[in-house]
Formats: sequence, structure tokens, C-alpha cells
Amino acid sequence: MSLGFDSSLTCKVDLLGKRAAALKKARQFFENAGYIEVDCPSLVKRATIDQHIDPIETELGFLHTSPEYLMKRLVAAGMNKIYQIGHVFRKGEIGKKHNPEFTMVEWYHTGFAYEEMIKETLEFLQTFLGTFETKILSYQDLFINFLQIDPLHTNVQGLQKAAELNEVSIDDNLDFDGWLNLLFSHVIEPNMAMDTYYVITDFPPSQAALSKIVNDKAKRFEVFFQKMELANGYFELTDQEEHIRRFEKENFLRQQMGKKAYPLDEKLLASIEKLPECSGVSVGFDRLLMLSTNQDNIESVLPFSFDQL
Amino acid sequence: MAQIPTNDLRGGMKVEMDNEPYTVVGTEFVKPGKGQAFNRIKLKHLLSGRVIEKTFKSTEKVELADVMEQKLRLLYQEQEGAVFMDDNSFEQVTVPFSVIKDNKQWLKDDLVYDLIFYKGVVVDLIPPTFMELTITETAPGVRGDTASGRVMKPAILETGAKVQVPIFIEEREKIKVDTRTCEYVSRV
Repeated sequence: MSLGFDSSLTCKVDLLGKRAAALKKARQFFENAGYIEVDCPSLVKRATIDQHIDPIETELGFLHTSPEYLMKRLVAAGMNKIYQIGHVFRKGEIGKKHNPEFTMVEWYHTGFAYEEMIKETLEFLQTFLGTFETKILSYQDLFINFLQIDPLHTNVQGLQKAAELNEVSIDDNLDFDGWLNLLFSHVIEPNMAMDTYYVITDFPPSQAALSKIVNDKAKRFEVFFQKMELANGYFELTDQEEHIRRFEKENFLRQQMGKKAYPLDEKLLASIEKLPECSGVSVGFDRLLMLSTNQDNIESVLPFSFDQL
Repeated sequence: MAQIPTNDLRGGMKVEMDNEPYTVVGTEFVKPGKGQAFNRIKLKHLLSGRVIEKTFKSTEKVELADVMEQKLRLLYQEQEGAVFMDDNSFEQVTVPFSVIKDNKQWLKDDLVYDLIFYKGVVVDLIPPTFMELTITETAPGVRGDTASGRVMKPAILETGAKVQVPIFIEEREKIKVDTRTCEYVSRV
């Protein structure tokens, strides 16, 4: 056992001061915009059901991977503008841009259209990162621009060929969305221009998550800055039956991957009936801080990363 | 050999891919918030030194390579190779110069070297990072050389290595060298 003092912590004194200031700034932003802060529990009874997100299980339940389900229940109960800033947990996510426990800023606004939420998300990000050129591109145009391939009119072979042309290879089998993810993270992200906000809109229906699908396009958006994914927002799905279908599909995909399926959240589903038209978005707060303080490793902006515990 | 999830790979680990041994030089976890997680692994071939990059699903497992590092003492050099001995078992191993390659210039009897074994066969030799060696040959420093801007001169060490030393260093002096860069560090 090493009892040496961890001198890397000394370097954090300055950054943790900036972190505190940024938290204050975020709360100020929401207060000015008329949002109410909520602090839904992190220990929850129902897991998020998502093919690629794995919750940490405890004796009593799960550590939430996002406050989404509980916040939607509050919105359904009549809270029109709410935000939460808190820690969320995801199993197996560890790297330069990932820590199993990280801070998420999530907010919901009833009666707020997709475009309005995109605009507000950019305003929030600009508060920390400054104003830069913004490119708003549909998922389809993004792939056409960066890869000369139409993601809505191709198949696994087409994507595989695009990957080969860009010298990206993988030893495993991937499904259609797996190839889209691979091309996105290995070709598109690294080739994004610096100092530009990229807003990706209109996702393929297979990647709708819990956003509404309109004219075969998922009303979901993501914002990237300095090649980093910062925000993920939806024009929220309000159809109960469609919710059940989506959860069941995710559970099916999880089982196919050899992962556990989870019981559906009945209380959430019951609330969806009363959920008004609304938009919601979440932002990775630590990444925002990485960019605003020029750090290339998430551990620099956390009081303690998982590896430093 | 044992398998390890690509998620748990760390720099320095030795893995086997397509029946070839590699050292992990870097790993990057890539995951879209809602999408498939990948691990991008940078690998250096243990024998050729060629660097390649591979991407895996983070749940995928890879084979650990049968690679072992052992400290052995150099007994003597022969025509074709060098003979090392394990201080504990007194077992002897002959390592051909074709494996030692350029590091032959750092071989000195009775010193301990790191030998890398792959499937029981020595595939690489790593000399100590810093070695203290005697200069066997160097021209005497000439007064006035520094004035013309010349501050270093070539020297040959007892092991045969050629290094640049400051002009004030004389033959038969002992110096400390960095074997990674072939650079003079200090007088001993």
C-alpha cells in the first residue's frame, strides 16, 4: 500500500474554484429563465431501459443514469419549467471523457417546441463557452457532408464500405445503428471543425430514444463543441403505448446482447398519459467545464475521479 | 491464456491478436451518450515495433499474450550470442545477437538486463536506462575548440557504443549514459 500524498489534488484547487463558479452560473441561468430547481433522488426503484446504458445496481434499487423518468413525472404533475443539476451513474463508462459518476444538468419546459429548446440549449452552452459559429444539420445531412453517404438510404454493407474508405475497422459484428455510431465517433466527430457548435437534428427513428417521431424523423437533437458531445435533447414522446413499445424494444436488444432486461416503470407510464407537449434536454456539466477550462481529461475537473478514489 | 475485456486494457499490457504479440500503448473509451461503446486500442507489435490501431466493442474480450519479463545477468558473449544466467536458479540462456540487435552495444559482463520472453523464447532485451561505462577511445580535447563553438566530440565506450561527450572528458574516464537516446548524462 502506498501512503504517499496525492499531489495531483493540489493542481485541482484552482479548477474546483472554477467548478463552483460554473455551478452557480448554471443555477443563475435557470433562475433568470424562470425555472424551478428540483432534486429528484439518485437511488431509484426502476432502471432506465436503454440498450447501451447500464445502471449500477444496489441492494435497494438502482443509481439513476439520468433524472429523466422522475422529472417527467413532476412535469406530468404540473411543474412546467424544472431543472436538476446532480450526479448520475453509468456502469462501465470510464475514459478521458467519461467517469462512472458524473454531473448532469437536465431541464424540461412544457409547451416549448423543439426549435425553441435547441435555441435555449445553445444559450446555456454559450454562457460558459462563448459565442461561436453554429451549424445546424440533420443527421442525414451530417453523414452526407462528412461521409458522402445517406444514412437513411443505405444498409450495413454501405456503412461498412464507408468505414473502409475512411480506414476504420472493427473486429466485431455490428448492427446498422452500431455502424452509424462507429462512423459518427470515428470519422465525423474527429473531423468536426473546432470553435463551431454543431447541432445535429432529426435522428433516424431507430435512435429516437424517447423523442417524438414526426415524418419518419426523430425529434431528437445533440450539440457538439470542440469535437465533444455536450447535449442531448428531445421533443418529448407523450404517447403511452409508444413508450411501452420503445421500452420493450430496448429490453429485447439488451437481451440479444446478453444483458439484463428491466421491468417497465409503471408509475412513469401512468404519468405519460398526463404529460403535456414539452421539450427536455440534458448537458454533461463536467465536459462543459473541461472545455471552458481547457482540460483534456475529465478527471481534472472532478474533485475526485473514480480512479482517484 | 487468459482473456481480458477490452475495457480493462491498460497501457503496457501484452495481448495476442491474430496470433501476434502486441504491447498496449494507448486506449480510448469512445461512447455516444445513447450509443454503442467502443474501445480504440493502439498496439505496438512486440517484435517488429509496428504500431496499429484497433477498435472493439467495449464488451469484447481479447487474449492476453504469453509474455514474461525476467531479469538475467550477462555471463559472457560468444560468437553468435550472449549467455545470461538467472541469479536464483543458475539456469543459463543463450540469446542470439539477431534478437539483441542494436542493444549489443550496451552489453557488459556481470550486469543485469531485462529479457522479454514470448511463449518461452527471448524476443527482446532491454538494457538498464542509465549505465556507467568507461571511455576506451576519444580524441584529446583541444584548447580553443570551445571558442569555435565545438563543445562535443565522439567517444567509444567499453561496450562498443558510440556517444557524443563534452570535449573536456578524457579517455579512461567513466561516464553515465542514457541508453534510450545514446546521450551523455554526466561524469561519474
